[in-house]
Amino acid sequence: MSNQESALELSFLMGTLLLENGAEITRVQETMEKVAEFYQVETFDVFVISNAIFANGIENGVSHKTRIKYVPSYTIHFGRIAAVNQLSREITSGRYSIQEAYEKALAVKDIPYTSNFVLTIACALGCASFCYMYGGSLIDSIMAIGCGFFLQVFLNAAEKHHMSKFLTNILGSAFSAAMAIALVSFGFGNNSQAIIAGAIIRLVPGMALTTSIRDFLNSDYLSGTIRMIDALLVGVYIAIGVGAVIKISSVFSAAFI
Amino acid sequence: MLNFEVVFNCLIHAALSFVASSAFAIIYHSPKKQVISAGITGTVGWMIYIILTTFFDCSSVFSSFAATVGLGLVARIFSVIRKSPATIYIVTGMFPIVPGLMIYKTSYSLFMSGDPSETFALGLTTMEVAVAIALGIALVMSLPQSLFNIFRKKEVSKTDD
Repeated sequence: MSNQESALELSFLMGTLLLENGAEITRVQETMEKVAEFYQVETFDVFVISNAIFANGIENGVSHKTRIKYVPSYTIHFGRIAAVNQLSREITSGRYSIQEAYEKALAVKDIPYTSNFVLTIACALGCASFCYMYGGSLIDSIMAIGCGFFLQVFLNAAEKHHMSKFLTNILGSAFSAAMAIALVSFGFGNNSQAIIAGAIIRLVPGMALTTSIRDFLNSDYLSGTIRMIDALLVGVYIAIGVGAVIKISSVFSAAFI
Repeated sequence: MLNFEVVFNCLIHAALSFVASSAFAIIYHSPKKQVISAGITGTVGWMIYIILTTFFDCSSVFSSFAATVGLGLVARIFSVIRKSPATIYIVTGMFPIVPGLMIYKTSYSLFMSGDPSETFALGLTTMEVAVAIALGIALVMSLPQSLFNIFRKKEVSKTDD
């Protein structure tokens, strides 16, 4: 029996797609169970944590399958999550055979990422808005447009060269802080703290911390712990990046004034 | 008091939170059709938050909770009307109120201020806000689906069956 006709493989593919693109643990688990149940798999057990899926099932009496998939890191892609969600609704309304559904799921894999140009514009505008919302003045927000723009350019390059999370966050936040402090010391903008806050909002792990607490509330203690440690570490990286730049700049200004 | 300047400032905040949430919806690769709805969800959340903290002197913890419940309800309604998972709208919509900057401030004060009591206070508030938001989401997501089905369009439900 080929992969294309197996409901277990279909369920597994959909679960992997969801986890890779940043869906919640409960959604991954529920979707996989729903698909397996709809196609009347005899036994199906699945256990999902935030970086791995363990699935095990018996199909048509003969086919035993055990699959473990390690998903070390993911980029959030809501387009693909919504597409898998739509597919699982259509499957449970009985619209597809297993093979058709499998082809649809493979097509979800090919939904493209937003182009880097659009991402950069969005990041620049988002950072500027946050700068004003968190107490910056109009001129600060205009400076934050520049910081956000170059931060996203840096992040695009970092992703292209597979830079580690540790280095990306430290360098990205140091870079934004250096830009903000330089702009303010040349007289553009008056509150470097607000500009820094606006720029690093692109990096801070607020969402990861909140998701971690949600996992705890859903009794997914293991996933919650993993995400919590992740959030705290990213916070520390950003503080190291910004802190180092502020320390260095204060040493410089003390030496020259 | 409620004068022109205050209203104008509120409108600016509404517009900016819309831009900010839409921008982060794009950064998280949301489908193009959903970006506007995600932006509106974000505006609702931020307006509740800013009005409660500025005009009613509420704590940031309570305001975050109320804002999450408000934007969560809007997200559930959008999810029924536009037939997408509510998470898309909730996650981007709550971007302005999640305590991301506070995590940074906590670890910054840990390294730079040398004042443990300040670090502890910041860390405690961060956790309180995060728990408040998570409770708000849990509350909204556990409301029964039938409550929201009144927003479903007639012709859509026909093709669905």
